[in-house]
Amino acid sequence: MQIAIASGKGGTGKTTMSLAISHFLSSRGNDVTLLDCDVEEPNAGLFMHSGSLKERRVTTPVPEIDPSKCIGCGVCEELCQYNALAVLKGKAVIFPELCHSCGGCVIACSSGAMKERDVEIGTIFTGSDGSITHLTGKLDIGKIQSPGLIGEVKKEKKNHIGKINIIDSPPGNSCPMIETVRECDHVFLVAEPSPFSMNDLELAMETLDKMGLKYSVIVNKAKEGENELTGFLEKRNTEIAAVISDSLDLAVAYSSGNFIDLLIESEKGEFEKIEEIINSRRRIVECQ
Amino acid sequence: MKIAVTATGHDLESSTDPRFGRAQGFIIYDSETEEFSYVDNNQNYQSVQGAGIQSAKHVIDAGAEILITGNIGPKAYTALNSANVTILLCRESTVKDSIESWKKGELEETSQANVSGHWGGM
Amino acid sequence: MSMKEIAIISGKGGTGKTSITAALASFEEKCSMIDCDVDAANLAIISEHEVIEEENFMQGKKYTINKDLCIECGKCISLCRFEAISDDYIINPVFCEGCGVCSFFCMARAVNSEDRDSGTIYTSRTPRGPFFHARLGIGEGNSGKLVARLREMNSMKLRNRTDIGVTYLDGPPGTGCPVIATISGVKAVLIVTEPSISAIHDLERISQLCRHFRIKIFLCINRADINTELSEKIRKFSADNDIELTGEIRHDPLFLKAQKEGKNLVEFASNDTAAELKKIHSALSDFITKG
Repeated sequence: MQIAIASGKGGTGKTTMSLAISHFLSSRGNDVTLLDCDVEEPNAGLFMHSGSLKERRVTTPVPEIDPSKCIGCGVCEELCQYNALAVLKGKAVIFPELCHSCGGCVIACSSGAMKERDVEIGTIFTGSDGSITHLTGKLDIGKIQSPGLIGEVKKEKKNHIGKINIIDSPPGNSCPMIETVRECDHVFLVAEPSPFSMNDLELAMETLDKMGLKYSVIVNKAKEGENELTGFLEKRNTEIAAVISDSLDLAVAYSSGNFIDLLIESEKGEFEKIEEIINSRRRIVECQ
Repeated sequence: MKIAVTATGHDLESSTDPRFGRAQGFIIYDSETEEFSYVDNNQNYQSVQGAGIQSAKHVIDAGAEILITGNIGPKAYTALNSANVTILLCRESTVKDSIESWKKGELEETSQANVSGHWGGM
Repeated sequence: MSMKEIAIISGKGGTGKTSITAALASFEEKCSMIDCDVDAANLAIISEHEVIEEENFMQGKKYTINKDLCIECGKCISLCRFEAISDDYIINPVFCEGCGVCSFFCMARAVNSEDRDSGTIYTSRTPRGPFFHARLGIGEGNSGKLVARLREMNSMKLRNRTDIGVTYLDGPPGTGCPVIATISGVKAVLIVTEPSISAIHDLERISQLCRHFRIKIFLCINRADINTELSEKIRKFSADNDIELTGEIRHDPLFLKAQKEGKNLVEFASNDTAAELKKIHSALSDFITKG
């Protein structure tokens, strides 16, 4: 069972909700793994108490050219859609920072001048806090292969029947978010009642619609008497998973990291609703 | 010897173009015959990615051994360096004046990119 | 080439980049703006503007398999590293990276390609100058390329405008591709952080990224009063790392109020938050005009 927590806009409470949902489900006797796929700025691990972390370096293949074998035929240059290869004075030259690791050039090269080497892009950390296992992907500074690393984090902890993976997504609606929610059984979108958040939520919903994924919305930082966001969701017939009230106490607690118990305690009914959605999805998924 | 100068127009009186990857074009000047030709770079002017490399190809294919431009990014530098093109940096002036400066040995050779790439990756 | 760009970034999302970008720009008599957060663009929501030009952002190729020609040999499926081709030979455009390997190696020549429409680019007019923004197509990648394109359009536009000396770039969150495309080659960045464990962690990473690209960093703290202890930690971080702390903004509900009216805070109120924003603007402005 793969559950992603995404949002479109940053700072709406994805990590907070990922942590709280993981702890809540775990306290209800579920086997929970928390995967932080916000690999450019991973934060979930900051709030997990674990001893030693296991580390694995992640690499991506990039071609290397042996100039003594290159005959300058230009097939690789013609094939590469990213302008990462150019034949200059009769020899192919690679620009690794433009390479998307598609592997085409190496197969196409008939003179045997190209082979792939592994370039490091980031690290996956694995630890456990009580009964919750947690994985964090951390992209190396200056690297751009976020989707590749996200894919590796998800592969590291594959989907198992009877287990729940809670996946903290990066913000936005582009490649890293898409790679994160890909093949998830359900997505919770976390939004707050602000014009910025609602604009980005709509984009996120369109993205998930296009991907054919099931989702519902967690309304965060809800203020009494303000119904723009819930009204908007009702009009669109989008399922509202839960409504979490705005609270300065919680914001202060969050800033210092001691918020999970407080949040679950004060919004227990809402987390039960989230649990129910997960359970009903689970029944459908596990039947298939 | 052939010298390439990034230019905003088609003749020696044109201004130099401070950009390399998205320069409008190049004046290719032959120091022996004192003749010149123009290579258009318009396709690159509009291109989104890898413009520096494609510009470098234009320069290399034209047979230039020296390039005079304002700014050079890391990928263009790698490309030109792999073909042993000497890169000289100039301030904004006319193509003619920058060639004169080169003849007097006033231009500084760069051994690295002087601007970071203007790129988009994945 | 006297145009100078300042990028407003944060690492962590939701710290107030867009609100602060719009406020800083409003202190300028003339300037241009670019919304570089192309897959969740919000700057237009709080910036008075009129769209004067719209164009499609065409980039890369879109591939489709012609069922009539396909011999179902399986080569494309096995070669596609992005797992974008289904068992029944349909290319999912959301997962397709546009590498073209399927097309290049197809013996039956069954894979067609066409130019890929990846979004819309808007050129707008504001009372202060041009404003470039975009809407990345749903399910499209390559946000970095789109950012590069917006910056290129801005620099072309400003070539003949001697009255505009500064461009404000509203950056995306994170440290990856679109962020690098936003900050590469800018004159300076302003990092907007807040006193929370997450934001401080992200501040460390984003400032590392800026140093990696040797870009001048300025810092400001938003919601500085929400956790005084952590704000002190940020001050220490800035001192230790020789990063200029340009201002501290308190938690101000007027940011949201202004946003709901489609304005930025400075247009909306002249309180101590506005004064602090002015101070941040002056620090940036001094640096920009100096050199």
